[in-house]
Amino acid sequence: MIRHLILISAAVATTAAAQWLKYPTPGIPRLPDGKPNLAAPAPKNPDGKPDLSGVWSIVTPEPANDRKPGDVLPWAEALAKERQENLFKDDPSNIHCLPHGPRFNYLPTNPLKIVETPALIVILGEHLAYRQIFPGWA
Amino acid sequence: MTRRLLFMLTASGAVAAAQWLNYPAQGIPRLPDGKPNLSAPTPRAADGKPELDGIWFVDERPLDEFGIRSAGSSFEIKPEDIILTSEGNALQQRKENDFPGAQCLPLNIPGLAGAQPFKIFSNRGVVVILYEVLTLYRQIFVDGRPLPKDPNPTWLGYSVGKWDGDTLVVETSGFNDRVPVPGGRPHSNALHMRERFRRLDFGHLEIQYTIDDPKVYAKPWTIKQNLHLTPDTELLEYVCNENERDLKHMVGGGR
Repeated sequence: MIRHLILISAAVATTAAAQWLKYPTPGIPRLPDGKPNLAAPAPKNPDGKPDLSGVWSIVTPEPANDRKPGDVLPWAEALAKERQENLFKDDPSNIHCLPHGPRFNYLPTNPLKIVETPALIVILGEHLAYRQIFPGWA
Repeated sequence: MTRRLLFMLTASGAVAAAQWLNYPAQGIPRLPDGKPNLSAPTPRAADGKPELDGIWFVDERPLDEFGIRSAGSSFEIKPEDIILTSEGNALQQRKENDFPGAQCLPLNIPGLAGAQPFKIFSNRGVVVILYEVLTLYRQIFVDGRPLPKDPNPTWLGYSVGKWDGDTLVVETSGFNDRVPVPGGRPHSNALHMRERFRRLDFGHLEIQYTIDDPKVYAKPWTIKQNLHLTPDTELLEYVCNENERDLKHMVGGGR
């Protein structure tokens, strides 16, 4: 847990020290005081589909899930417990600077940016890695 | 130097073993035999500016001093154009053995473009470059914003661009001083880099880089890369730290 905490502390320290650039995003709905209106309707692309573009931050520290008792197989539950108890020493992303895999979108301390074109959606991680999504799959 | 060679050999090995996906790109000009027509006219956006989108890779590179085709040989350098200041000379000697890429840290921008393919795409005021090297990316803001006056120093700097006729001119500053510029040469945090992207036709791109760092170089100097489009393929995942076994053998200033 100590190593895990150190890592988290380091990440938070980086975040706290970072100086995000204040450049007002053009063309977004704003409140009378100039702040972005996050409750305005979702913007749409010319094809009528929602536009996902933007820099997004995690709101919920623990992702919502619909797991029910028994959904996670016993061996997987046991492995998760073991990992918590052994200080996540075999977690490649936390300790060895390797990719986050399926957890790419879930980095509580770092925002993600989505840039999309009709043929490509890209998620840019603040850890400098990216994901490509090719829309149109059916 | 050994560390550098090791890194380059590792990178070359990755290329040789790579299996790119063979998925035909849609909507591109093709020859009667179905192959992409790389000599077709430059595609243009609705505003008439050239589109730079696509996956690009440097043209055939000459063998470098180690007998391999490395990122360092993807452009021509004229040593007579590169004049170090006294501060630059001292920096060069101090950083001679410091090559962050050997530790899976970022390369300089021409090196990122020269080592493996990269993808350019753009939308809504930003041009994005996805590098296969280290799965890194870069954003170039083309929405009219100026360069920040006092940015946090970063590995790839902060980039803004605008069109000069058919050439996208990109200005980048805010670099940290850790990544050597092309040829393994040093730079300071005063480095300012200008890139000129020119799509010559459908399948050919030229990038000119001007290195301007008055603390280190007596005058700006310029290098150029020639690249070709590589359609019907895709970027690969590149995780430098995976199965990394070299670091413990390394010696020198960067260790």
